[in-house]
Amino acid sequence: MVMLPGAGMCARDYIDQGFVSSIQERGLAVDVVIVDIAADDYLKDAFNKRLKNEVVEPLIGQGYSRIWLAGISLGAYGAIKFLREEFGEIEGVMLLSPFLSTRGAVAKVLREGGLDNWSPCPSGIENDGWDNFCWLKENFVVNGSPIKIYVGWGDVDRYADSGRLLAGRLPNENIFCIHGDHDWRTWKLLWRGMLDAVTFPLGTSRQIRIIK
Amino acid sequence: MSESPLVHGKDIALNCERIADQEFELANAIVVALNLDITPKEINPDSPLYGDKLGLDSIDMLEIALVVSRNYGFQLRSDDENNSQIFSSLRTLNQHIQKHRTK
Repeated sequence: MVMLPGAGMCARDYIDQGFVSSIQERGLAVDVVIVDIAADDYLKDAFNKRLKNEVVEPLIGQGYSRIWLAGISLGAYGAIKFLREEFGEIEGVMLLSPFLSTRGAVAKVLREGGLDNWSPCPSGIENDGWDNFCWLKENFVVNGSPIKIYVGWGDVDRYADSGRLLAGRLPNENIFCIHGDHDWRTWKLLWRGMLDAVTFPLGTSRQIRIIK
Repeated sequence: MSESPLVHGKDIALNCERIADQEFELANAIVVALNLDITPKEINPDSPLYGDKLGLDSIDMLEIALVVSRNYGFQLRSDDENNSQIFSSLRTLNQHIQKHRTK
């Protein structure tokens, strides 16, 4: 499990907030790598290359064949950005309060009927995160994606609409919405719910590493 | 020969108009990006962007940084030690953008 922190968070927060202990308490054979990354780095073109070269490929080299990404807010943005280019190496993603683009852009896609009905502006004038939406529109499909995708959010979270946008393409069992905001209390509850839903092998979580 | 005060005054007026246009464009981008329930004209250029007045916080600022990157071609850094000054108002943010924009 490769964990990507959100803006204003650090890698250590995933440990301090009980995300790793939740895995251990459930006896899941899931090793954890937490990437210590600055918010700005998710927005850079080099992000995917860095994640691939410094995290994912070394894991594959160590013999890991089942790799999941987990991200909160901007970390979820990073996970989706990685999927756009590195589709084949990831088994699943767990997205909490995902940030897809600006709230204005998400609202526009929802106003136009969600990913099914929205069409990107051909002129590119309104290029406000459309790369993500275009990829999601083409690849993020119910029963059509080889990647297991779980999405969770709090109902009063400022990015709740992003969750709703993704949920429109997912089966109910992959969607987690509870009463909550953009905060750790909500994310912890969502995370536990997701861990209970995903079929991870039982065993021992042997490694917890932070990669800077 | 000294410069005509009338022409000089006209230049100042044009410059003020240009700045007002830039600030309106930026205010509009912020309102659209954050999906705010206000019009761009309701953002006072001298009022703080943070806190009670407009009610923006650090996560909102990240979205603004994304918009600035796309619209103006340069990256605002979240760890810039001058951020409190840069984001102190629409006016200071616009001044920073005009100084660093590449498009």
